[in-house]
Amino acid sequence: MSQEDLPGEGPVQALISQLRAPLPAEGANQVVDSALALCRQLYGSARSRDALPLAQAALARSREASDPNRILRAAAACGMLSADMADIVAAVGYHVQALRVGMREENRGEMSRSWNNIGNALGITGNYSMAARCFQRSLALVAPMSGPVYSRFAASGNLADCFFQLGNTSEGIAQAERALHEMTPAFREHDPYAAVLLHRNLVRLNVAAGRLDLAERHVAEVVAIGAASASPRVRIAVDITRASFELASGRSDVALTRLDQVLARAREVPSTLRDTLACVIRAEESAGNTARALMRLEELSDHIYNLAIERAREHVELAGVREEAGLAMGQRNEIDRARLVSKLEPRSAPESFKALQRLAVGAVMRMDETGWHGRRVGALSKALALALGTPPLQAVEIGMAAELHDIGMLSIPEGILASKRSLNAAETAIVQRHADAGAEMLRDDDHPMVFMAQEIARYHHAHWDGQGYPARVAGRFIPLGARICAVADAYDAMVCGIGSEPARTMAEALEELQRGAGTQFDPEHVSCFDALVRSESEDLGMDLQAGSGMEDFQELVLTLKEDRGFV
Amino acid sequence: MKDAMIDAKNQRMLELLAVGSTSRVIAKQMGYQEGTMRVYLHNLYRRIGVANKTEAVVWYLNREKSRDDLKAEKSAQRPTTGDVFGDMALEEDLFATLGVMSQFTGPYGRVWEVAQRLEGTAMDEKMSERRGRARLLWRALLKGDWAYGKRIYDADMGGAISLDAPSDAVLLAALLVAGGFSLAGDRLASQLTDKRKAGRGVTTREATLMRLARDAFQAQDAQAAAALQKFAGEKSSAAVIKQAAMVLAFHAFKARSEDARARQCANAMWAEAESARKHLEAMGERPLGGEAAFAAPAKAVTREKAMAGAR
Repeated sequence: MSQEDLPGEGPVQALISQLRAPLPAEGANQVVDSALALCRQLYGSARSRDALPLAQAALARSREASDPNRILRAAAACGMLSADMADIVAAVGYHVQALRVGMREENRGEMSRSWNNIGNALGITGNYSMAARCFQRSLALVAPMSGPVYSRFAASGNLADCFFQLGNTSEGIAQAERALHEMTPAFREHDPYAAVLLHRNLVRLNVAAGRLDLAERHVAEVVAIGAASASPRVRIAVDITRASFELASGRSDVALTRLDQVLARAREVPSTLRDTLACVIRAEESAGNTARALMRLEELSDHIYNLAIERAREHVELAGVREEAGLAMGQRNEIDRARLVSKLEPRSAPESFKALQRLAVGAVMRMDETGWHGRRVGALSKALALALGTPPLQAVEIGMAAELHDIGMLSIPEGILASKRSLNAAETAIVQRHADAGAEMLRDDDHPMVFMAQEIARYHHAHWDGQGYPARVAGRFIPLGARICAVADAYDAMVCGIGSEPARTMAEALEELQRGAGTQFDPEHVSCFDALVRSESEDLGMDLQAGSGMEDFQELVLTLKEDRGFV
Repeated sequence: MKDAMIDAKNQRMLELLAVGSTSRVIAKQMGYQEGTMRVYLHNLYRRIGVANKTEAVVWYLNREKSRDDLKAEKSAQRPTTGDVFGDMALEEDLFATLGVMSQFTGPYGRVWEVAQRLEGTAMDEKMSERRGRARLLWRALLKGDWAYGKRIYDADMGGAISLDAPSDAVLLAALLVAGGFSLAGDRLASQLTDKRKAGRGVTTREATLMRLARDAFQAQDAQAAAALQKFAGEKSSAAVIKQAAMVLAFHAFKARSEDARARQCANAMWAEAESARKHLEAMGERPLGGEAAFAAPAKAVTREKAMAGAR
């Protein structure tokens, strides 16, 4: 199906309102089915943003009808679409919903499929080891079943990709072969994209293992599948696979011409642009065009940067305006008036805040397996602010805003963050953009809490002596929240070993903070933080010198988060 | 303090005796067997040093009368100082004097409520139960309602509270100690500090608070009450501990008739409540909720500003 055959905004809206209207049961089922089919098509042509509200409406509808089969499918659709829009936390949430339904129905196939989807979502953040565990669980669930099982096919294919990313080629090939064995023509028909990806993985793995002859066979397969499919995603994936094989077999000029063509097409389908550009960069590099490779790298980072910001904004918009899009003028005015009234009303977190929190968790999952980095920094910032004598509610706001400090990490290619090595100059420059990206994502909303989050996101890497980035601000010109967050962020990163450096004990990290007092951090904040951590850990009977401070540190943060009726 | 021996149960027994109830009626009212009740009554006679029912009633009525007399006498003796808040706090109690402002002090107060809303935490049943319990304890502490603390402790709530809300148990321990129930107070305090060694329970500052409170009320040490007041003035992360110390110091000074210092403590409490209220207002809250009844008066334009505009 080509781009033109798809319905525009209008019919999608119509379908959504149809889903919301009361309908007799069998009619409703039909509408849900067609909505889900449409979602699939929209996903295939990279229009997840339009499809997500539709899928959500379908999910709500099938919940009402309590029809387990449709709930499963709708939740899975919601999850895939959210993941495609970079909202990993929501995606995992939807898949877990599906998983629950699967458990209630005792349907191992569906459960396995949900685990597979969760793994896929985690894979998007570059958290391959965790994704691999999900895929293994998915495989374990269907292990007793015989014959070709779709989720076994999908999960082992995905697992192969994880192994490739983790550098374990032999395991990867084994898994991919298993997936291939599992694939039936029906599966291939049903999901040509997955089939292409599987063959692509085999090509990549075999190239990595130096088996070009085997790789070539899979390239031929890929081309055959591609010829039968019209989806732009599939065709771009086919061309990228061919190009990467040509690259490996030394025909870089052919690869470059092909990639130039692909690039032109990929610009039409934004979600494929990233893979394409990455492949182009590799090609240019191996052809020796360093300058052009750098140019493309810049384009890639710009692309990811802009895409991430755009997506974050979309989420905020989706969270804020749940009603039909395309508001009439009157409704706009209504919303503006509501905003004005809300300025006079007591303050509360804006509606979009939950969406932002989810995005922030997804963003830090690239560096921190658990995704709790933001929450920990939030709790530490709040405690530090209180200890500094900030009025309680302001401290609460600082804590909540500090949770979002690394939201800009969404705009950094996950490959850079997942690597534990130290970064080169170009990569460092890219990582440093996360401060601006975060501020950019939070720019729209003029709610005071979001504004504070924006300040923190922008300035949490500013140094006390003015040597930080992005802007050269120093001393008390750095907003209070950002100064507080800087101390908490650095401490958490040191204790949990985020980034290229190894984890330190809690005492070592405190010493390191002391060393930065007056140059990197506000000296007053460092001494206050030092006292805070020491007294709290003494209360908990912890040993700051203990080898692995991780668990103690987690408990410390939990104690700080605990609600004892104080603020 | 002899009154401290009369706990809530004995108080009720005396009240029933005073309206002329027989021991059978009292037993029925309080849910005991008649025989048990007789034993309890005799224990009570022995405790207050009387021989029979009649004498007990006389003792009770005298005591009631003398309490009111004492109050009137004291307020007559006490010179008015112009410190309106301090005077009233000494005459009535902190709870009555703070009035609705007490909402801005103590655990789970108004500020906590707003913070909860800001963070988007939904209030569940367990939380609101915990909140209600802590607020009642705080109220008793402000009021100086020692019997309430004992009643809670006797209903074996002591164990339950210290299990799931150590900070509330600290308030209870302080309430017991201040009321002269030293045995119960000490037992609860040591329970809590033991738990601390196991890594979960009260913080260092809370432990210090309990220690200082015991010194101030039990040892009747002049220095101890002052130490409590000083502790309240220290920079501390949890405002609640500070406030609890302040209230305890107030009661300690009041008991020792050091009126000037008791007034200081009372005024410090007022300042705490007032600053919390101002903070809420600065954050755009209506501190006491409800609708804004009337518009704020238009800002007065100072002469300088008007002149500057004219130029």
